[in-house]
Order: sequence, then C-alpha cells, then structure tokens
Amino acid sequence: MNSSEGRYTRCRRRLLSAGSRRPLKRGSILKEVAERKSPQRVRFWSHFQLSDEARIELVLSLVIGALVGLVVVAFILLTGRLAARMYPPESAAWRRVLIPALGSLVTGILLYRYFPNARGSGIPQAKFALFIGEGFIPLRTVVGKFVCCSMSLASGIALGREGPSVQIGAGIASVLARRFGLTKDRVTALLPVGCSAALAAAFNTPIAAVLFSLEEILGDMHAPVLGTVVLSSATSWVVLHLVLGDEPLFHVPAYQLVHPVEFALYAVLGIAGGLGSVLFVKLLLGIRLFFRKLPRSTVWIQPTAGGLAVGLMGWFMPQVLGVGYDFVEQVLSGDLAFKVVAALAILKIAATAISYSSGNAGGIFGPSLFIGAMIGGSVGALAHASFPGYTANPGAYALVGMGAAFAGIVRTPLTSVIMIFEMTRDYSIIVPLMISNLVSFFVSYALQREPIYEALARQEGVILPTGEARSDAEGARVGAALRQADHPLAPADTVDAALERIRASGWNALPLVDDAGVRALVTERELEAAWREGRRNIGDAYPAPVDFPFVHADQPLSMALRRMGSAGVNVLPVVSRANIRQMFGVVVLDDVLAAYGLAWEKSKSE
Amino acid sequence: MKIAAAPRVYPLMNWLMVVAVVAALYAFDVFMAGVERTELKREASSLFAQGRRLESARRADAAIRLYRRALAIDRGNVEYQIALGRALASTGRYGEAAPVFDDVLDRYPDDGRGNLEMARLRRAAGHLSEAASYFHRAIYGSWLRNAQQHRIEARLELIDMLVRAGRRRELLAELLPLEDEAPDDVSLRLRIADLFMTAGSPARAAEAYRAVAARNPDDVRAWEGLGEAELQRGNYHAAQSAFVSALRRMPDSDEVRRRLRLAAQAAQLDPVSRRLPFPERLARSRRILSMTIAELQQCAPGQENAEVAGLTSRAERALHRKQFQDEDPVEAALSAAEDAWSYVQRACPAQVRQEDALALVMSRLQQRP
Repeated sequence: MNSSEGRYTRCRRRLLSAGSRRPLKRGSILKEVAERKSPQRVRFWSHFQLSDEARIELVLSLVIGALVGLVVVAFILLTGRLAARMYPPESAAWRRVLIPALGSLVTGILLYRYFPNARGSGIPQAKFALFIGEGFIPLRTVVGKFVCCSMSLASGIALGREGPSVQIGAGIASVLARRFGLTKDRVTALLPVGCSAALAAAFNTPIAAVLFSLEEILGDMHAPVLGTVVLSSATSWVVLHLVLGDEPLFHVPAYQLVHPVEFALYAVLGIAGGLGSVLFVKLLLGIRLFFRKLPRSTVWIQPTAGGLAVGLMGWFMPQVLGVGYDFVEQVLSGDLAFKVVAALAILKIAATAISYSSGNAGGIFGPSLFIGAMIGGSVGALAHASFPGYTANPGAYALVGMGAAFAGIVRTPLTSVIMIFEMTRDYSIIVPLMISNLVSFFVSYALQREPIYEALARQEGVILPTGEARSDAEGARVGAALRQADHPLAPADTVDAALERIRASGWNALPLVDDAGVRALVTERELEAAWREGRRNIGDAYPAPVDFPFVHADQPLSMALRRMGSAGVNVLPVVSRANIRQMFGVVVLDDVLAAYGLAWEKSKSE
Repeated sequence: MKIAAAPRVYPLMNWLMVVAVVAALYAFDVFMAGVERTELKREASSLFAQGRRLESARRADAAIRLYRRALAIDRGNVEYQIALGRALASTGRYGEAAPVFDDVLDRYPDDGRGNLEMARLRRAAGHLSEAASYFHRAIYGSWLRNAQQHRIEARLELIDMLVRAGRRRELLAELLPLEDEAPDDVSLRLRIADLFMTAGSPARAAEAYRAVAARNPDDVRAWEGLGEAELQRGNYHAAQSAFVSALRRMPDSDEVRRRLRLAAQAAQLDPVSRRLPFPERLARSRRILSMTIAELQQCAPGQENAEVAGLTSRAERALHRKQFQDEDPVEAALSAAEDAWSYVQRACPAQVRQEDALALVMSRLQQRP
C-alpha cells in the first residue's frame, strides 16, 4: 500500500512538472506515466486483463491444486498406515476374512446413513456434478468419501484410491468455488481442475491427469479450461513431491525390445487385455444390476457381501486384497510364477467386480492396473517360455498389460499411454504400449460399446453426454450445412427492394455481391437506417468492400454459431480461405441447428 | 442440490481459512509421511534381517524374495541392493544381478561395495580387464566403515585374480602399493612376500620376509621364505643362513633340512660368488662344465648329433684351456656350460630337476647380462 502511494505521489509530481493540465486523478496519472514510458508495453499487457471472477478462478486453480494435493497425499498416507495396522507382517489368515467383512459392514452403514453420495468410484459422481449438477458437490460428500474410502481400502477391499481421489478433488474445487461466490458456470469449470489435481497426486502423473480430465471427465481435448487444469495439476504434483519426494509409482527395470516379432506378441497382449477388460466390465455391471434389484432395506448390508467375498478370496491368495501395488511391482520386476499371476488376474476381476457392485467405496483405476499387470504377466510368461530368444522378460509384458487393461476398461487410450509412461518413466516401452493399448481399446469397444462410466450412470438412470457424441457434434463442419445464396443483393439494387427481399427470405441479413465477390453482409437494421437516411441504392451505402462476418466451409458448425451470435445475424457467407470475397454459399442458423439434431425441437416449440 | 446465489465477495476470512487449512494439512502430511517412512524402514529392515538368516542357512532363493520385498519398501537402499545382487550372483543369476549393481553404481559411481561386487560379476563372466577396472574403482572408492581394510581386501582379490590369470607384471604393480598400505599384520606381510615370489621378484620378497623375520624372529615361515627368496636370487650363503635359522626353530623339518642341503650345494658350486679367489672360481666353473657335459651325454648318448658333437668338443677345449691365453678360461668354461645346458633344457626338459644345485646355479648364470 505504501509503495503504491509513493509511486502515485512521484507520478503526480512528474506530471505537474511536465505541465499537464488534465485532472489529477490517481488512475489516469499512473496510466499516462505508463503510456509515456512504454505505450507498446501497455497495449501488450492489456491483452491479459482479466475480470475479477477470472482472476479469482485463476488463483483458485492454484489453491485447489495445493489443497487437493495435500488432501490426496493425506488420503494415501492414512490408508496405507491404517492398512499396515490391520494387516501386520506375518498376521494370521483369519484377519484376511474378518477385517474386509467388518470394514465393509462399518462403511456400508456410514454410506447408508450419512454419506449416500460417497458410494462407488467417484468418477461418475464427478461427471454427474459437472454435467447435470451445475458443479455442486457438498462438503459432506467430500468428507464421507475420504473417511469411507480410507476405511474400506485399509480393510482390504479390492478397490482403488484414485477414483475416490478424483471425486474428493472435484468436491474440494466445488466447495471452494462456491465459498468464494463464483457463478455456477465458473464453479462447474473448476471441477475438472480439482479432478486433474487429484489424479496428479494420486498417481504421481501430472500430464496424464490433465489428459484424463480432458479425455474422460470433459470429453473434449480442446476444452477452454486447459490452462487452469494444467496449473492445478502442476501445483498438486509439486505438493506431492514436497511431502513424499520424487518417486514414481512403480520402479521397473529398463526394458527393451528383444526382437521385432515382439510387436505381434504385444498385439496379442492387446487382445487379451481387451477381452479381460470386457469380462471385467460386463461382470461388474451384471453383479451391480443384481444388487440393485435387491430390496432397498438391504443397501446398508450389501457392501458386507462384497467384503466377505473378497475376504474369502484373500484367505487363499492375500495378494487379492487392497490395491496391491506392492505385488504389481514384484510382477513388473519379472518375479512371478505363471500360475500365480494367471489365478490373480481372474480372482482380482471377480474381487473388484463384487466389491464395487456391492456398493463399497473405492475406484477401479488401481484394480485395472493390477488386472492388466497380471494379464500381461501371464501372456509374457507364456511368450517367454515359448520363444525365450525373441522375447523380453515377462515383466515388460506386465507393464504393457497395465496400459492395455486401463485403455480397455476406462477407454482412455491416450491417457493410458502417458500414464504408464509417467508411472514408470521408461520411454523404451512406449511403442509396444501404444500398439497394445489401441488393440485392447478396439477389442473392448467392439464387444462392449458403452464405456463403463456411462454404463454405470445409465444404471443410475442418468444419461451422461459421452465424449464420442460430443466429438461427433464438434466434428460437424460448415460444409455439411452449406446452401446456395439464391438471391444475394447487388450494388444496383434499391434499398426498398433489398428490404423486401430480406424480409421475404426469413433471414435478418443478406450478402451484398458485386463483380469481385462479397462486398458486405447487409443486415435488415442497416438497410432500414439507409432507408431513413434517404439512400436510393445499396451501392451508395456500401461504395467499397467492408469487413463482414463470415466462415469457411471446413470450420466447425460451433464456430458458425459463435460468429452468428457475436454478429447478431442468422446467416453467414461461406467464403474461400484464399480470397474472402469469393463466396461458396451461405450457412443459415436453422441448418446449423438441424445438423445438431435440434430441428425437430424447434418445430415442436413453434 | 442447486447452488445458492452467493454474493460475489471474496472476504479476507475466506483466504485466511484456506491458508489455515493448507498449513494444517501440510503439517499433518509431513507428520504422516514421517510415520510412514519410519514404519516402512522398520518393516524393510526386518525383511532384510530374515533374508540374511535365510541366506546363511543356504536358502538363497527365499532370501532373494525377501531382499526384493525389502527393496520394494525401502527403495534405493544400497545395503539391500548389494545383498540382493550378491544373493543373485551366488545362485548364478548373473544377468539379474548386474542391473542391481548397475543401479547402485548409477547413483553412487564411487561406491566401494557396488564396484567390488560388479568386479566379482565381471570376473565370474571371464571379463578380467573389466573386472580389474571395477576392482580399482572399489579400491579407490568410498566405504562407509573400515575403508582401509576393505580396500586391502579388494586389492588382494584383484591380486588373486591376476595370479590365477598369470599376469605377473600387473601383479607386481598391485603388490607395490599393497606393501605400503598393508597394516603390520604378520600373516598379511608373509602373504605379500609370497606374492612377490609369485610375481617373479625374489629381491622384494626377500626384503619382505626379512622384515617379518626381524620383527618376529621365531616365525619359521619367514625364515623359510627368506631362504627360498635368497636361493632364487642366487645368494646361496644368505639362503643357507636363513634355512639354518629356520631349522634351529623347527629342527624336525625334513623339508627345511633338504632346502638347506640344496643351498649348501649351490653355495659350493657357485662360480661367481664374491671374494672368491681365481683358482677356486676356475675350478668351480670347470666342475660345472663337467657336470653339464655329463647331463648332455645323458640327454644325447653317443655323438651322432652334430650339435651335440660341437658342444662336446667345445667343452673339451674349454676344460683343457691354459691360463693366461687371450680368453678368460672361467668365462670360456661357463659359456660352454651354458650352451650345453641350454641344449639339455631344450632337448630333455624332463631331465632338468629344479631341486638340483646344478639347475639352480645354471639358472642364475643364464640370467647374467
């Protein structure tokens, strides 16, 4: 404050000494001095001027990144320490049955009585809030998710911590944004910011977190929130490193491609990963449907069924319990026996499906990676036994398998590739990973069209807009709605005749075309003004070409909509990119709406 | 469900609250991270100790599993990594052990243990030059405890490798610094002296034995070694005296008695002994020549071979050469003896007995410039 006053006083003195006669207002003095100093600099910075809300949003994205990072780190640490106390080293086998059952019973009651929205993964819930809840996630849900997931994961329920972290992150963003009085739009826009911060801290994968927020949560890789999403992800990652240091989620030995024939084997792994993914998704949805059909009065006890089932599996194979990242790392190191990993792949699919479907709190990200590692380890072990001279260590296949299962289950192939790369920091595996992921994605897509989160939402009776649908709409181009401009205006036309023609067309503007091409886009209002001014011909009002709104045929229809909105017209000339005066035709608002499938609604409303 | 229409104000209280929550969470996280680190280290340490016990009980595979688990918990712990790599190497899984040591050396290139283990791996794979290079890094690398002792042990391992590979020049190059660095330990000093002998440096070996004998006069091995070194050097009287000292301390040793006898015979035969009168030197040289001719005739009976005939005739001339002629009769006799002995060595190697006084003396004469 003092320094500002000092600056003001100095500026005032300098202006007085320069003989300024303007009123000595504080803002104008500072501005004038700034302009005298460097006019270009002022013009440059004026591009970055933000509204108060936008500034708060920007600062909040940093705060959300830090806060979510800290909460997720606390969540990870708390879950880990609780689990260590529940399962001390060399503990008795009965614990593995009793503790998951008890843990799921307690969390089941908590979820039923106090935190009904904290059930399940958290990704669909975050998407509900984003697309149909106007960004609203109550603080109670955040707290409930944190408490219930910590308890259920620590007790050995075969679910992951990353999905819940995403809901916690989105919830914190929602609570903060509302607390700071932001508008609904801005609250909603901050949800992906919280999601990316959460995932960056949960997986230690800042780039994949950004991609996931865009690819899965928003379903739009060109979303305007990219900047804030990146900012929060980076902040969260920094916080994670401050507290836990620089350690990737998995330490893997350096792998390398032994022989080009391995590419074919990685494609086979992609098929196996895709089939495993479909099996998992169908099983999970099927069991969930079964539980949903049970009487509502049993909802509180349903998670216990999942806990007991997982406990019984854990009695025989303790690796099934919990997230299981320790065992994944062993498999990635190639320290595995085929029978064990193959059995674990099947058991983990069953354990996670029943844990999730019965209503326990926890996500499917971590289990996806576990299942993928086991499928990959099995395929790798078989491949290595069959072609030892041509194949890498089975650990390499386990690593690629993680990505394949993730791409098949979550259906985010790009995020999956980057995530595995960031988790392991091993670049050499990236090409096999891409091959395997894409094959898995297509196999999974062919056998189970609906992605898991959309399918889960549908079971809840909610239809979320899929990324695919949105990209289809985004993919529609102006060329698809192009029509001929049958009656363009000519410079020789009288204003009266032009007004009549516009009114008859049903549009509020028409292009004015001369021998060289489009001279202007003349609106009805401009013609009325010309008529009032007493002009005879349109050529008198537009003697030379002027700037006019237009679109190109290869631009998206959304762009045409935005330009129509900003120009206040319902028709735009479609012009050449090489010569904007060369007109191919026009695009009309009705045609654009029809291309978006809204023509029926319009006619119905009329 | 819907958002309440909140006033667009950003009170300071909100910011203060955020700062307080962030600070509290940060403190909680740091505390929890500390708890986790401590508990995980304890768990890893327990697994490592179990692994050690299993390895001692010769259950290396089970130990490897525990070492891996310990490492998965306490990532980057050099002690665990070294133990894992060593266990893998002990079961012949060199391919798996190498990356473990590589990882250690990537992070700590001058780590003594890592370099030593890597040297052993390379030695086992037969890459001796690479192994020697890692041994040197281990010798000059850093050690957490007992650095001097570890360095000497590493150098001794390198020396042992060089002895087995028969690289005598490199062996000598390693022995010289070892002699300076080694502590005043009798067995180590004797071992160094033995190694000097192996490296073909009896003079340095004699010095080393003498130093030990001077400090430990009752050490029979030192006297015996000194005697052998002096025999190799051609100091037969010194060798005799050393063997006498040894025999005095161990009168029942037939071996020492035999070596003493050999030294005495060589001393009586030696024609180049200092302060020897000329007639005696001439007599000894002719005796050597006569013995050499006898060996030659035994090697090639009859005189059908032209080379043998030439050598015999030359020896005859040297035996009967008069004094004060243009050539030194001693040198003439010794030169003829050397040529004849060379033939015997070449044609009848089995006939040459190393334990023989003549062989000993001839060997020394052949080394003359």
